[in-house]
Amino acid sequence: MDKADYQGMGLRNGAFTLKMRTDFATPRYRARIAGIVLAASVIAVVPAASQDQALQPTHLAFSGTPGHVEMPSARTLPDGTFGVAISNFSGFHRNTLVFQATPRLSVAFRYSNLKGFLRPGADYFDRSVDLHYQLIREGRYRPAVAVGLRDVGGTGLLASEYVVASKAFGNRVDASLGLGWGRLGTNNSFRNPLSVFGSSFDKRDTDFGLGGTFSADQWFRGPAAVFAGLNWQATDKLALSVEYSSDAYGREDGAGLLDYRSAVNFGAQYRLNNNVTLGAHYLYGSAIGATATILLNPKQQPSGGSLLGAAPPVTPRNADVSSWGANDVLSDSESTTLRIDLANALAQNGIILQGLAISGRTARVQISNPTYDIEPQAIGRTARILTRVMPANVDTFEIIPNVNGLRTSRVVVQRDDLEQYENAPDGAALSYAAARFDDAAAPAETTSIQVLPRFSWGIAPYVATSFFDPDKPLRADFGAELSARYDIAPNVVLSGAAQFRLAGNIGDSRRLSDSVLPQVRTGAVLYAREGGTGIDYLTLDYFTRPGTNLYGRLTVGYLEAMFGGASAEVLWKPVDSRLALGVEVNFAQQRDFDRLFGFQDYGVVTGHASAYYAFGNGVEGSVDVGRYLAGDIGATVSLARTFGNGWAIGAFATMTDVSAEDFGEGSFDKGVTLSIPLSWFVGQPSQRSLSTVIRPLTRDGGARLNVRNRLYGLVTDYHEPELADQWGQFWR
Amino acid sequence: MGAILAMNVGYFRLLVTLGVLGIAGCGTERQSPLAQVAGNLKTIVQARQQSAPQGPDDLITRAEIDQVTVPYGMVGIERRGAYVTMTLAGQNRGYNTWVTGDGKGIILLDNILTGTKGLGADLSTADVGALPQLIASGNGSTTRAHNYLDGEGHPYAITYNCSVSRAANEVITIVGKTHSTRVVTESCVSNQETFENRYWIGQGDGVMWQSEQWVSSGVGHLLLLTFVPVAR
Repeated sequence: MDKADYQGMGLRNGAFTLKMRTDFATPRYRARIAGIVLAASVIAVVPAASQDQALQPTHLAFSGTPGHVEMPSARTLPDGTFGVAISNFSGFHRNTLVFQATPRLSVAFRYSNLKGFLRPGADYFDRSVDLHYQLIREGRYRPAVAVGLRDVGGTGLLASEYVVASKAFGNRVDASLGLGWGRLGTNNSFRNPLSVFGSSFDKRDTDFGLGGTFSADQWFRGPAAVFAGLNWQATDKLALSVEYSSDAYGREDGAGLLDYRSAVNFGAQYRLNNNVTLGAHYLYGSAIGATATILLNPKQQPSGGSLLGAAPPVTPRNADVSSWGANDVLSDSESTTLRIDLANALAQNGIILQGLAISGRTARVQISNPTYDIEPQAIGRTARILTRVMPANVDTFEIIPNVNGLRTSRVVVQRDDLEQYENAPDGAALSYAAARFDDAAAPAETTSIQVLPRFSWGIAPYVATSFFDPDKPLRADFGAELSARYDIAPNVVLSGAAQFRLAGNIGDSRRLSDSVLPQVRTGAVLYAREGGTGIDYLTLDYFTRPGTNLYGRLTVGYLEAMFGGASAEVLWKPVDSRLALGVEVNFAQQRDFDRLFGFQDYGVVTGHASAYYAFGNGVEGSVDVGRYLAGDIGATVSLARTFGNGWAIGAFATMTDVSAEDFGEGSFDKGVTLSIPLSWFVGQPSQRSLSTVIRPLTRDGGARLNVRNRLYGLVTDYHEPELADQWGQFWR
Repeated sequence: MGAILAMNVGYFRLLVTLGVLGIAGCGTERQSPLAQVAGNLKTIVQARQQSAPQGPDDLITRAEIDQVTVPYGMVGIERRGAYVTMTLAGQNRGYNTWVTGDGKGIILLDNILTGTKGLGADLSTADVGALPQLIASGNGSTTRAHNYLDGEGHPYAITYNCSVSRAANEVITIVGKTHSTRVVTESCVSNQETFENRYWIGQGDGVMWQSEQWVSSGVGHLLLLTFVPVAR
């Protein structure tokens, strides 16, 4: 078993939204328009039900994976689905978060309270991770087959493994037959059939030490037992389950926690809607249980799709009545008027004009985009607006999206192509094929840089949470956060955020750090206790393009809640490359617990060399090698999947030269990251997202500085392969 | 399990919680995301409170229409009973882009719907084949290809086989003005879904005064009304 924590990073620091509404009815056509809101456009469209009801699980078993009552089946959830399962029987309470990471692989993270499991009457909080992999898809006669590992990183007390086959009969009956080991091999168990491969399969060691390590040498060891289950979809809403469990609950029965009388369990699941299913169960001949399952598919947006209004349409030049000739040169006043018109039209669409240069037949435009999370939408809107304001003799548009003053890439589009492909049936693919993408390091000549607004601020409520304190598994602080940003120049930004706690109990925890390492992360309670009102960050950032394919950042100030200092980073990332390389060096000094201006004695030079690779289909991996906050040396491996609509889930693990004993429980740092874009919920563009890091455990080893504005995340939105992935929305 | 605890404190700004608390942020942002959520909720509540859906006649009068001299029309999502006026915002290679009072886009090629912008499950683009000629002649069959974005924002297409035929002539009334029309129906099937569109074309003037046209399974049909046609 493993301890876990749940650390949030809060809203990704999205830029400040300028303006959401558009109004572009041209004056000529501006008629009296009835101001009727298309009210229904915000009402969620319920996605169509699946065709294979019996094959598509609508409820999760007690363990949180598709199954019957307690026993698993070989089913998978639809690719990308997130599920939450809350279950309780006989005082055993389990909360499980499950993610279908690939069409075949699902990962579950579970936090349980097994009251009395270790000591009578005492809460026993347990964290565990399960893996479930479908080896064989169901055929006409062939069953689906899956293999599963439960509590893979744990101490072994609750660990189990299984192989299960499931077959649908018609579209209402689904039956499973499986073989279990570990806990799932305790009822009517027999000698491990795998013992034919050696007697080492006979013995299972249940003491895995500190946990947190993958004890693969114990998997599928020890006695095995058979389980079986049947689901019957009685009506569209109601399903009934019966199963034969291979878990004998010996320890619980012995401790008087469960009166075990029978291996047969019964369940009824009622589906409230496409997302929520409630279940009632009768288990082991004596206990009553209840479950609630919530399934959320990132591919099914509540609004059914984007509610973003229409962009200004292309104005073709043959309709242009202006008298521009091919060789006309703009006068100064004409040039100024043009720039103002362009800036206003862009601003109405939430885009900021940061530079304009017209040379010959080419117009080069620098923009910044604080509005659209789908970056091709910003590029597409800019291109269409250019057709409306540029003189007829300009036939090439170069659009350079700036992020914090960094020229991220140069997108070259031909005006002819825009006119031709605007409404063409395959206009998105044609416009992508016709566009050119390259590096924008060279300063665009004769630009007139404009930064509006230079000052922006916001105040918003915040909730800080602390999970998994054994005394109180959920603690929270509430308050207000004031954030502000001042753009001294487009690439020199002063920004900060302060938090004012109004109420909360995180600092009340009596559990203080026992770490033998420099306490770089385990002092969190003290920060909450003494820094209820404090500075989250306050930094001066400088961004630069030192050369082709190169990006640079310098940051000084209060870098994050626990450390201040200076940070320097250089990134190499060609626009069309899947590979990026980076180096970062930080001088970090630990901040006072009151989160004000003072520092503690501990300081460290920390930094990493990083390699990033985009494998395609939204899958990205990275390796960071270097020195961590506690002075330990090692590497972090990360893998993440980002959906086209911005949902992202990833996992990381860090191994350093800190021994498992010095690290403490969990043995090494690891965790899962989750990010959900706000736009997915509201159907309107927004660069904000809700992001969290779920760690089984936060200790001091393998801890990285949380410096903001790391370059890779800033520039890759405007690079391949992300542009290609989202270009389908260029004309939205 | 040891007595050790690795406590963790995170700043987890729960949007849902904030929504429940009803607190919206403020600042230089003209419309914060929270305000959007709140606005959406308010609109939903208001929409549900309206006992009877409002039809075109409730939203505009003929006297108001008569004052308009530029192309003008109305669009409604039939399934939702929601209607809004629209004006012509752009013309490019035969495609007319109409924009509604609330900023949504309707793209028509010879009055045949080829795209929507901002309705949710939008129709991205469409290749309507020989449909304009078939509607003019009143019968025949053709294929049409619809392009959509899936839940991840990636494009996919559905191809339909469609047959066009004449129905009985009708006299229709649009906000107090009657039109004698010939009626053309179009029945389309694909391996995923089927739909039927109907077109009402004025006898004599040849103007498509009214039509019911399919967008997607998520949106259903649009009802399109012409108040002031686009000049030919």
